[in-house]
Order: sequence, then structure tokens, then C-alpha cells
Amino acid sequence: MEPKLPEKVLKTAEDIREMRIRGAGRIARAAVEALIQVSKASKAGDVDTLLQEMDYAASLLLKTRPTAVSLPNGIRYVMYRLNRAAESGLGVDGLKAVVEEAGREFIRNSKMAVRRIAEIGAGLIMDGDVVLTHCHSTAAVSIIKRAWSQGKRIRVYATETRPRFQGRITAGILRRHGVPVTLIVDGAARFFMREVDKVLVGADAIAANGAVVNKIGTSMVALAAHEAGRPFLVAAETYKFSPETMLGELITIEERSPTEILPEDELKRLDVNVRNPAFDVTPPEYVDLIITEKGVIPPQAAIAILHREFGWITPKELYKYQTYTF
Amino acid sequence: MESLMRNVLEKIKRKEISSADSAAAHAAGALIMLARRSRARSVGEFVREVENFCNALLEARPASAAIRNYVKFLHREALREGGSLEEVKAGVEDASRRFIVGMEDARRRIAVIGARRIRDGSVVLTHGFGRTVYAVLTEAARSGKHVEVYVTEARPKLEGRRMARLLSGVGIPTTLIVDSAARAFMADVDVALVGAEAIAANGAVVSKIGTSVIAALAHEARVRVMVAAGTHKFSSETIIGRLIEMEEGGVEDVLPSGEAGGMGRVRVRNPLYDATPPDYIDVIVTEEGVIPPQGVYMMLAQGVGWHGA
Repeated sequence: MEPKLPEKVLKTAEDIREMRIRGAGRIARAAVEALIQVSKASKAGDVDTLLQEMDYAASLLLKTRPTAVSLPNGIRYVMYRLNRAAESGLGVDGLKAVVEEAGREFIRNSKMAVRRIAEIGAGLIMDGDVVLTHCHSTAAVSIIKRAWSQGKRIRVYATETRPRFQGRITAGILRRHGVPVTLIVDGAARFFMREVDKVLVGADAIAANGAVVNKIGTSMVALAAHEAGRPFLVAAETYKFSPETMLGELITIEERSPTEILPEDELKRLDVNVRNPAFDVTPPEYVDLIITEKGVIPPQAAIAILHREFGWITPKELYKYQTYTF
Repeated sequence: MESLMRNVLEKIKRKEISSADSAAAHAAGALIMLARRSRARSVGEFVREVENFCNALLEARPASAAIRNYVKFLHREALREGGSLEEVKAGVEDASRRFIVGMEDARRRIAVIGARRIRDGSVVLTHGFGRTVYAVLTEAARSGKHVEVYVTEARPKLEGRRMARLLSGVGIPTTLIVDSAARAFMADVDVALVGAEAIAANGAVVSKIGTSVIAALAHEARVRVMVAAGTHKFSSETIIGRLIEMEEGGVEDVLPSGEAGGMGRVRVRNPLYDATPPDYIDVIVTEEGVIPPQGVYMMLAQGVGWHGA
């Protein structure tokens, strides 16, 4: 029998799926918060029932966004600690406290990560720089905002980022912060690259070889930067690093609805095929630096981060707490 | 009459006619109408009407080599010699008609030549809409080759939708993607096929914004880039150092005012064209045959094709 989850948790899952909750950090924090809610609301009388409920909630949340890496990393952070505590013989109330504590810890670290990244990343931006960014990344935006607040007079090119125009969000946020922003179509990235000093993007996932999975079009912008000899910087919290890739797992690229590209009525009328991959993979050769809350690393050092952060993962644990394919 | 002329100019200016050939054909069509209906009482008055229209044309789409070449052709064939009012009017109509027919002939020949360079079973990637590219693809399909096409939607005007609709309509399996997904699909692609707005003497191709990054991606993936363009797209002025003027489009096309609310004063830049360096171009298919980009200078200098007409 499927456990009944609190309405609030189902709403969170729905919001993540429908991209009303956006940004890898927010998704992970919302999912972890939902796990805390499940544990709090649980009326389980014994440990097994509680674990079943938590497992069910975890797998439901994981299915909302198959590509997000922060999401399984956040969920694993909580579930790993919960299961370890259960094995040590803790009762229902004790386990609930563990979930709450682990969850709050993850959320705190994750919020701090963006602030640390902003601080570290701003150091790489020079006064007078022209920065080009693609899509909307909380980490990248906070670096730019921080640099601006430090008094660096910078200018930003924001690509609009079809099909969902997240570039407009970036432009709006930066503009409200006072940063001069110019919005351009994605295809114009190469056209403007000559004026650009640095390219700065976020990441949805970083693979063991330093490859960056991010919004569709990122790899194209990276190529244009590489071609023009412009540094390509990636801002990524360490919970974006994908431990599965250490075990040879390929990151799944989610394809989203064709109606994001062609409105439903036109789609029917035109009888045209539409493909809508949400992400692409930028090879490490095009990435100069990855800015994490633990410091700045070359992409080739991604494996070192993975070892340090998630070194304890065995394939079995991954299978259970990460991929949730059971 | 005047409203008709203004209407054509406005359409060309606002890029409602996206294809360069179509824009030139509309311009020539408008002058044919003018030649027939003008109430000018003297040669001088009529020539002024034509000149005014030509100047407005050049301003409406300065990057277009087809329009520039048409205007030059018109001067050479119809305006320079003079004659009676009737003779000059007939000359304008005749030159305009020859230009339109010339473009159509060129397109047919390019289609046949270009289609030969597309192997059976090829996957072709193209960007937005172009009549010449469309002609090559349909000719390849007509000659019995199985061709699959990826079409980028081509922001901001989304002409790629039209291309996808037309290609699907003639039974060519076509997939529409956003511009920035070009790299994600490049591994499946055999040939990138694009059109041109103008081609410079060094073989650089000025084309719809986003073309140059697709060419760079193709180059990176060792995918051949084929440009389909008649010699009326060659810009002979570039030999004497003229830079091709690439105008920008309207802000509204990128960011509709309804979407700009609460964003503050975000600046928008909307360049309509970019230049693809010759290093990324494999061949240019013209009505006179297939040339490497470096061959553009040779054809311009020797007056081959349109420039020898």
C-alpha cells in the first residue's frame, strides 16, 4: 500500500516537476524540506513504517527531475543518515530528529555554498569586465551581484535562453541590482564574443571528468568562448558533482515537452517533429575553472572533489539512495 | 501606388520577408508596378521616383547583396542610357523582370548542383528559412535521396517554423529544434546547409544571425558546411574595401514590451546577421558551379556569373 504523504509534500513534488521551483540549489533544498515534512507528519508507530514512508517520499521526489544532480545528492544526504541511524537501533522519535537535523544541515550548507561561491567568484571578476552569461543560475548571478557590490563596474550580456527564456529572469535580477545588462538571442553569442572578457555560467551537474551539464546552449557558448580565447567559468556547488559518473553512469539528458518550442495548436497543425533536450554537455577542454564553495578548481580536479565529498559511496549505496530505480 | 511601394519597403525593412531572394524579388516587382503605373510626366521625374525607391531599398536592408546588385543592375541596364519616358519605363520593367528570372534560374541550378553533394541517407542541419536552401533540399528528395533535416527555429523571428512546415509538407522528415540545441544534435548531422545575405571577396558569408556559431560547431564536429547562394549574393564592393553593413532589428522582436515589465531598463541588442569566416566553409554552391570560399574573389575579379552580366 502506498503511504499517504502530506499535501504540502505532493505540492512540492509537483512544483519541482513543473519547474515552478527552479535552480538546482532550490530544488534540492525544497526536496530536503519535503523529506523533513514527511518525517514530521508521519504517524508511523514503528521504525519500518517510517522508513517505508521516507523511502516512498524520496523516490517520488527523485522522479520529478531525472537530470537534477543536486536533488539526489540532497535526498541521499538525509536518507543515508536516516538509514545509518536506523541500523544503530534508534526508535521512531530518534529517527525523526535525525531527519530534521540532517535536513537542516544540508539546507544550511547549501545556502552558505552560494554565498561562498559569490565571494570566491567575485574575486575573478575585474573592474571593467564584460561578462556573458547563459540561462539563469543563482550561483553565477550572485557572483556578478557581489562583484558589482564591490564597486567593479561591469557589463553583462545575457542570452535569452530558448525555449523558456530564463535569460530574461537573469537580466531582470541583475538590472534591479543596478548592473547594466544587454539581452541577446542565443544565436548572437558568437557575434558578441569579441566584446566579452569572461563567460560565466552555472551548472546542473558536473561529471567525474569535469564535463559540465547545464542548460541547452551552454556548450555552444563555451565553444564560441574557446574559439575567441575567452575564459569560460562555471559556478557550481559541490552538491552538483555527480557521484554516479564515478561509477561510469552517464548523466541522463532530460527531453522536455515540444510545446515549449511550438505552441500546441501549431504543433498539431504543422505535423512537425520537435526535439527539446533541456541540457547539453560542455567538454572539460572548454572549461577553464569551476568555482565551488570549497575553492576554485580546474575541471580535471572534479574527481578530487567527488572523492572528498562522496568518497564513501559504494555502488550499492548509490543504487539505493541515488538512482532509486528499485 | 505610393502606398504599395511603401508597403513593400516596410515589409523588407521589418524583415517580414526573411529570404534575401524574396526581398529582392519583391523590390523588383514593386518597380515593375511603378514602371507601369507611374504618373511621372518626364524621364527626369520617373528616374527620380525610381532612384528614391532604390535608395530607400538600400537603407531598408543594407546587408543584402541581392538588393544592392539589383539596384546596380537597374542603373546599368535601364537608367544610364536614357531615352524617352516610355523607353526608360520599359527598360526598368525589363531589367527588373530579368533580375527576378535570373534569381529563379540561379536557384534551380543551385538546387540541382547542391543536391548532388547531398548523399543518400544524409542528415542535414539548416538554420531558419531560405528559399535556396529549401530548393536544394527538395531537389535532393525529388531525385530519390532519403534526406532528414534538422531545422533551428531561428530566433527572434522563428522563420525555422516555416521551413519545418514546408519541408514536412513535401514529405521530408524534419525535426525542429531551438538554435542553441545545434551542438546537441551535431553528432547526428552529415551536412550543415545554409544560405547567405551577402558573400565577401574573402569568402566570408554574411547570413542570418546564429549561422556563424553553427558553422563553428560543424567545424568542431568535422561536419561539412555548404552555403547555397547565387552569384547575385556576391558583394563586389568588398574588393575595394567596403565592409558589409549589418543592421540590427527591433527590440520588440527579442523582448516584447509585455514581457519587459519589472525588468527595469534592460538593453536589448538584436543583430540580424553575422559573418561566418571562410575557414569554416567547405563549399559555396553557386549557379555557376561549386567553389571553395576562396574562389569568390576569382569569380568577382573575372566577372563570372551575375557580375559579368
